[in-house]
Amino acid sequence: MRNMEQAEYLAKKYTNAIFRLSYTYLKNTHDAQDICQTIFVKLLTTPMEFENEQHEKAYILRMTANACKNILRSPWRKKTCSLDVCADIPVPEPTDNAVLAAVNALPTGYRSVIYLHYYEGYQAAEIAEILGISTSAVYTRLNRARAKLKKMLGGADYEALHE
Amino acid sequence: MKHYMNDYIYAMDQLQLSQQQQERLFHAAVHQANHANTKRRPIRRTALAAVVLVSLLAITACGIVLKTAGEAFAPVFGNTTSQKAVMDDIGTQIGASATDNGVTITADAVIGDDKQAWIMYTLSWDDSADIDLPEGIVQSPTDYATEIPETTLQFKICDDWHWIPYNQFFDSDPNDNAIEFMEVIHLTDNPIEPFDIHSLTRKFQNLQFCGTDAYGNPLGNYMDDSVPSWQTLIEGNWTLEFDASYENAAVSVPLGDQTEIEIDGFVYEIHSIQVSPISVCVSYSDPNDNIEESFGTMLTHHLIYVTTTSGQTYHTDATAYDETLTDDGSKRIVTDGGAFTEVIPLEDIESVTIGTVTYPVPHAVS
Repeated sequence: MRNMEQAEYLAKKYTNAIFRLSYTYLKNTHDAQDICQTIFVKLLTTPMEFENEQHEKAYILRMTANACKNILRSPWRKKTCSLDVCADIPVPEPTDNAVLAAVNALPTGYRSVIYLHYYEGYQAAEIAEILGISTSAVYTRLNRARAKLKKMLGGADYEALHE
Repeated sequence: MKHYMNDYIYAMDQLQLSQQQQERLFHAAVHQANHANTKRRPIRRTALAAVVLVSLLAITACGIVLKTAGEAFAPVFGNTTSQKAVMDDIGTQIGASATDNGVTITADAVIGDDKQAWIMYTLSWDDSADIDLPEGIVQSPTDYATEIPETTLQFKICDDWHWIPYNQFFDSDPNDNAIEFMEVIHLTDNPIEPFDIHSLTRKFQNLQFCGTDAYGNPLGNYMDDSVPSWQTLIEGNWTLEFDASYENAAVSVPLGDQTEIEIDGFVYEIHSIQVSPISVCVSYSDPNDNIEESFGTMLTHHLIYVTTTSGQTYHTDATAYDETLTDDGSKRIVTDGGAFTEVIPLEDIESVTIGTVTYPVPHAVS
């Protein structure tokens, strides 16, 4: 496969970013691993050229978001690895975390902007491009997500507990 | 004070695959890629539509009517004779089209300012295409909202990179075999997908629709099994290549000595204001660089608006344009603004107001 070297480089570099964004969408690590493999297959079968590292990462996150949306739309999710390959891969589970649990209780569209902004550090226009929505939608979702999180986490009381 | 999102970041930091896990997944992907089946495309789909840059003569010969910029953007920015005249003046006609399965997509015209460009397209079909759009699936032109409303329908035409959202589809004449849609291009210095405005390629594939929930998420099986997920309305592939360059219709508004404003307890330093007949945008920074806390405050409260010489005010659709750093990296500069709900002749714009501060537009005729 002509793209092996590039695919292996990109996979090594962005696996955890793909995994975390997928977890954000799908809320379980098994499905997040499936998405990782789906993206790896695309990297292997489709040659890609990028202008710079910023473009490279954003494009891969965009592919990941699309793959997750496809999973969420379809009632028939195909297994992307055979049982004998995946059977002995232990699945990392997220630690008990009240904020993560609260984020996971948000609608999908809110979770993804929360992740891309607070964890990956993207700004609104960049998030809009990755997710294929308008920048104003990003702002709206972030503001609403923050309001919901504050309400779920007890607002000022929660922050005071963690001073 | 520890911000609660630090806990979220910590939790996500812990969520990672070991090197061994990554390698196993990659090897599984190699196995899958090596044994992937190539699916034949259904016969009813044509091969990828040829790129067609059509001359005026050829377009009229095929029955596709070229629209002026005013005619193209009338569903968005106004349908009066004077409004169309303004748009004819500041917009640029394009006229590129592609046809597949009896359906034609035409890039009609482009209009823009310093930070954003708007391209209008027409999707038309002949009778043989047997297209029957569900009633009410496209908003009326007056529904072009200033922020994303909660709605029950959402269109998707997409290439590999972006979608056309539901509120950018129009149907200026429900009795004809055509609808219109608008693409918004952000002219940022740091684009995720680099592009050349003089040589744009747009690949459209399958017009689909899906219901959305109250948050704008597409409905589907993960929300409610009784609601259908994405349905294809019009199947096809259309590739257009065209020159979308245009003349920047914006002018700068002098700041005078009013370079700082206060909104909701946050102080902003204003760097520049640009206004055009269809848009206004403001570049500003937060001297405390507390952008995260004030994120979206200005937009949320729709505190950027223009006032005309007749006293009418126009807010924008509140689309943020860009965020950059100053040359020394010390300050983040945000550019906010957006399009008006209708075109306003520049000479009729008296002032731009941000928060409680009003900046006169010097060329306005009182």
